[in-house]
Amino acid sequence: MNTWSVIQALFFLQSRSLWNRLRTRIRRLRQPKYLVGAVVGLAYFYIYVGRFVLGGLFFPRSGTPGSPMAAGFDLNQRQLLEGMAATGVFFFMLGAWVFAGPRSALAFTETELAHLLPAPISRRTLIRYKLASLQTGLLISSLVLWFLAGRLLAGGHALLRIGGWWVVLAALSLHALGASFVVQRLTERGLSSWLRRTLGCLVGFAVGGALVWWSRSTFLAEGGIPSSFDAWRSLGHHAFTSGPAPWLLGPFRLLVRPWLATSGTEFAIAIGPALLVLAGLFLWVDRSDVAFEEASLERARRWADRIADASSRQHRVGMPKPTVRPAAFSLRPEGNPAVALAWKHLIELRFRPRNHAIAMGVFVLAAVGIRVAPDAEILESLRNSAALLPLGMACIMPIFGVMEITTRVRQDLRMVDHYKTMPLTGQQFVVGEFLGGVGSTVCRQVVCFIGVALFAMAPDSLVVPWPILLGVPVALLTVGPGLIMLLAILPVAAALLFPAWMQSTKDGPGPGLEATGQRVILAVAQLITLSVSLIPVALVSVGMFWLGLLVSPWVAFVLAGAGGAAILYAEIAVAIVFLGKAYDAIDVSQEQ
Amino acid sequence: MIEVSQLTKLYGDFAAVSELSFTVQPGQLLGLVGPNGAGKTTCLRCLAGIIPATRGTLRLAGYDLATDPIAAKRHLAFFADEPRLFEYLTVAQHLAFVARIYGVKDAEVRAPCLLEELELSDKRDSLPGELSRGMKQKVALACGLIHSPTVILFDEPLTGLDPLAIRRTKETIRRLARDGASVIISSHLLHLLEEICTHILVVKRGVRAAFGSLQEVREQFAHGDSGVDLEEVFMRIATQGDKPPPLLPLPPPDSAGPPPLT
Repeated sequence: MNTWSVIQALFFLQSRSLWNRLRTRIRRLRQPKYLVGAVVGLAYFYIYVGRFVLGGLFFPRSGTPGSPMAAGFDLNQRQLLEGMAATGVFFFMLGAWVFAGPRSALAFTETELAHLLPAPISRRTLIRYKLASLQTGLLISSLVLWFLAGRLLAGGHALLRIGGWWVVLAALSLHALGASFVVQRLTERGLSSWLRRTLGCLVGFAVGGALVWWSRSTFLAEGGIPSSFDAWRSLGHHAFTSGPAPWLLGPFRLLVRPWLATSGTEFAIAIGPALLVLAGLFLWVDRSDVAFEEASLERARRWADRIADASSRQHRVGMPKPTVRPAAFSLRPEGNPAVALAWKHLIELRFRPRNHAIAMGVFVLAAVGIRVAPDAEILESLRNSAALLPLGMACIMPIFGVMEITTRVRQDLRMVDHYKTMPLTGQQFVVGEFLGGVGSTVCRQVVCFIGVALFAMAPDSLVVPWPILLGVPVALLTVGPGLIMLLAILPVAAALLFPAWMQSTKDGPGPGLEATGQRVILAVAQLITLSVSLIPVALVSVGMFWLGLLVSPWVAFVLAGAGGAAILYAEIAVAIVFLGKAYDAIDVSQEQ
Repeated sequence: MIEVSQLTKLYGDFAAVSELSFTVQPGQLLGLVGPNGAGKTTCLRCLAGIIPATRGTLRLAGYDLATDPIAAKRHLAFFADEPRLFEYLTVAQHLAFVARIYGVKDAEVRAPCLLEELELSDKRDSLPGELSRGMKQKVALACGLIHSPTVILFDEPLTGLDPLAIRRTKETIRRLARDGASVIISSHLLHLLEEICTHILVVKRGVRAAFGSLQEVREQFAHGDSGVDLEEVFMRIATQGDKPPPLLPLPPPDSAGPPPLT
């Protein structure tokens, strides 16, 4: 089988995969909820990204056809920029020698290896296949880099810039591959990793040292260390255009020149030598006859294992292996099943009452320490600041509580088929999901408030008046859980209404454009819902507060908390009924 | 008891299962067989309450799965081909969790017995990640059995098990049926079904192709042949009404002939 046939097969594979993925996503849009998301996502992308990409791809931006950065620079500055970019490329490539593993491994997927290794394909063709398949990723990376640089530095013709980025990225990937082949061959001949790394570092030091030495001798000759930015720039230019730098960085300069070209003509002149360097790198890689198959198999197997492991554990690749976590409390077999879910979540969250007791102990010790320390006066002045720390922690904890709830719901929805076989109502499922996150957050808040109280209390001067000191935590602890649930309602609703997002990593085609749209909708809806739902809560709380003030501040806070909480929890109860129905309505067969 | 009447599941215009009806009495073991894509898993998933049926009635232990799903599921245990376990719960914690969900009053007595019976006692504090596949199957089995279900569904229960585990799983399945449970096993291992099942349901393209006791199904498709086994029955049903697949053209005969074996 010749290279061309393999490339054709690759093209077929990639184009069909892309098309089928697209088709699956389009099919998903038959459901109106995903269609709305897609429309909003498309609008978002167009407003934020698309108009720049589409505009810049065919027309030069800001009337300047050249590099956005280099276009505004004079010749000296451009040479300095070129020298710096070339130095960056040099050290990047040196890193490939220093940090490479002992065995070269072309990154194939397990499926690719299963089909390609037994096929009548030569090793060289396999390398070419891999190089060809890398081009899609390189082009996408070039596009992204151009976009990022283009957004930061306006101007430049898109095609030239993308071409410039592609040359640099292609050279880096070819070189990394070639270097890994050479490293494997040298390792097989007995070169140890530490010796190779030492040699690599020595080369780095030698080149870096030569550049520094030359710069140093230059500024010594010109009368000492430069004092202004312009003088530094001039020195840099001199260091990169004279002495050893032009020779040492020659090939790397050729590679970055297309990226720095300021016009089509300059690009055309610069691209020839850059392509020659690329051709040299390609030949180097292509002629390498290194047995990479075994290492590639090992690598693919390891990667597949990690993905399978992460998938079965519902975690991202690279997460640590789980360890046994004791339960927060003993679960009785009878009672509301929702408690079982909360119990499970507390185990997953590593929630342990003992840790909270330890934290309280730390607060007590710190508070006592402030009292009895010899320099008590100085420490006493720190009391206010010390009280702010747990107060701040208590205030931001609801955010973590919402995140915990949302994460648990998403993870549990990946096992929705398992839950669906259980005798759980939708409302029990939702309450169970809320309870764990809310419970752990409230416990942490209690510990923090105790810390605030311990630091704020002093025999001689009370930092905060007693009614406020006790009333605020009571009111917050009454309304706090409700606020956490209120904030979590919309993310949970999104997870229940659009479960395909959660399952997509395992079985489906992955969240597409519609997922971005849904997030935009979600963010807006979150704001609106929060505002609308809090208006009656605030009105009732304020009313009760004023009523309570007629008696005392204590009563005011308690009444405000109780009144607000009543409205809040009524709203939440309605939301839980709705969310429970959404859970009951999940049809996993429709969510692909 | 499992009663399925006119079960239909549509995916868009495609009927994965169509007008399927059957009953599994307590103590009966029904083998659910059919070619790939016949609708076996869809049928099981509908019965387990994972996916809703488009039409039809499903009654588990006398409860309608559509109108009274909680009561129906209290009597149900569904064992998927891949055991679904929680990453951070130990074996004992799994049992405690499931016991609470199902409200098993005597869980504290039943859990150690189940662990003992399934040889998991020394693994009670292990996480799923520390267990082999067979062990995970056993944990799933323990979780499924702790509430003494009377309706049990197995989807390819023997996948990935070693011969010893296969033997024990078969014994467990038989014991469950003897104890009065209605059991459905979906599997491609026809000799297994022939060995342990009392009844067979063959599904083809989502519709019932054969249903009855093992003997009845054999006789129905024997066509006068004696000693027809389930595999033969399956082959006859699977190829019934289908055009035989075209034969692949043979390569031209090599004049030199095959090389002699050495």
